Amino acid sequence: MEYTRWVADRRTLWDEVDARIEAARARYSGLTFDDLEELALGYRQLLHDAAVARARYPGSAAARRLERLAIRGAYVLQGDANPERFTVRRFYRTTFPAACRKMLPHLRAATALFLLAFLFSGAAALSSPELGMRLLGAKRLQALREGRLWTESLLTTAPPGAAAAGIATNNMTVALMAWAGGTVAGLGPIYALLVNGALLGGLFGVTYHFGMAGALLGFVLSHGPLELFLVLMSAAAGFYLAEGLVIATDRPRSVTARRHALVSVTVVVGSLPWFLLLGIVETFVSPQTAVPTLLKAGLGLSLLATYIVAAFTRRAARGEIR
Amino acid sequence: MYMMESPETIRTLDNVPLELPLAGVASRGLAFAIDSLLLAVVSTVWFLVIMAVTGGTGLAVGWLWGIGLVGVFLLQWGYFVFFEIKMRGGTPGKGALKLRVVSSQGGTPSPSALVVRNVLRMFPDMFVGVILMAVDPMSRRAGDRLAGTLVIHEGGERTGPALGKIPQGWGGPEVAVVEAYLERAAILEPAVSMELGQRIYHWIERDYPEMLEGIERSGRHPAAVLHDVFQVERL
Repeated sequence: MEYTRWVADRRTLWDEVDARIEAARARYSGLTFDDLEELALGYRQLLHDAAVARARYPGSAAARRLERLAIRGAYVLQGDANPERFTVRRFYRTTFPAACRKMLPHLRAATALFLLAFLFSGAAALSSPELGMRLLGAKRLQALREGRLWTESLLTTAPPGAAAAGIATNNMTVALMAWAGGTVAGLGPIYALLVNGALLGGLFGVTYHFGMAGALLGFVLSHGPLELFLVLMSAAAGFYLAEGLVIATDRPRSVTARRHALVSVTVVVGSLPWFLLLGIVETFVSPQTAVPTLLKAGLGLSLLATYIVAAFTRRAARGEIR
Repeated sequence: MYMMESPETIRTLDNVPLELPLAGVASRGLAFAIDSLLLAVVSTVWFLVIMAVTGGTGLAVGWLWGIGLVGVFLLQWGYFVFFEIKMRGGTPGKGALKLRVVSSQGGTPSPSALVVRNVLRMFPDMFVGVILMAVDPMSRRAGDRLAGTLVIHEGGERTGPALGKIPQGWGGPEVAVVEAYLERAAILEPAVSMELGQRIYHWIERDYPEMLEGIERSGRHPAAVLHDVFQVERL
């Protein structure tokens, strides 16, 4: 087959497929079934020509054009995206709970590690208050000596709206970093759990020493249950990510790691809006001593229960994550 | 014919191999620098707007600062995710350098994959991303490996010079040599372009003199003569 005759015979098809690919790239959402079918048919012929050009005329203008067209066509036709259009409703009804349910074994491990750090640190602070006081810093310690919690400053040092946003964005960053730290063989979530567990345990130990553990409990009751649970979920997602990287299975590690990353990031991203809600609660409800402790506990447990129902409800077990 | 496949070769429908034009550390770094600059400008403007609006004091101002902080968080974590989803694998920086994120099979990556690669941009890629890209034959950072994505060049001329007439018996290598020369003749150093052109011209003159019949040659650059000899057209 002579090169010039082959090019002359086939270039009309190449021009047509080229035009179809460009049109598809310009308006993906407007593609009809017929458009896609014709494009796929033309693309298949083009791939055949690309294979011929690669074998018989490597480096020629025809081979380069066909390769370029084939790459552009692959981008249009070989999408990894879920064919169903993304909606927030569908995400929270199916995708998010399906991902959360996969985290359950890792959630148990994260909870155990957190409790270990909490109890160890709490016991250490109770038996040796000086040790726990180092956790607090001078300002917080001074507040405790004056018989009040440092958390009152949440109402005085910054406008409440800014404080709420500051708390929420900080917590969201911690959650994202705890997940991403899973890439270092799970060290990131381990660090997050140990630090948070030790800090909370230490704080309760020291405040108990000053007779203010009840006040601290009153402060954390409204936001603490869900905030802790979200930390545990983020860490569990980090463990799930690490598992995909570290644990050997009968599938290639690249496949497992990718799968675990896609599932676990869904959990973290889906949990982020809850941190915004918690920032508002922590700023506007938690420091209010006028709000009865029982009401705070009710609010905190209701928030936690709502999240758990949203995250683990069974109806979504078939949700697909791609 | 058996051909060695490089790591960037993908298998498409019917097992046809395609070589993806992967972007390296330099072009990706430059695209990132452009995006970072744009991000810094947008963040600064965002802060200036918040500061201008919150001239007074009071509860409403506190909420505006809150919105400002959340805005900065969204810019910091969401800029790349937003653009890569909306621009289908591109960002303004990537667009400037004609780069695009594709799946490991050259297709459109899923939104989840784009979120994974961009959250991991902050950690661990902020620290080891460049090293990982430099040592990986496919220039992938950790985010790309876990998301199953690649960054490719989309640039280059859409068409190139193709020979419309060739001597009997010419195959791929001969065609490729002449087409490659004609494509680059204008951008090569003049002396090099002249020398290469004359070598191809003498080859044709010696082996295929009939091809030169009726072609005006006197005083013309060899590239122009060869253009007429091979009846070159854009493909």
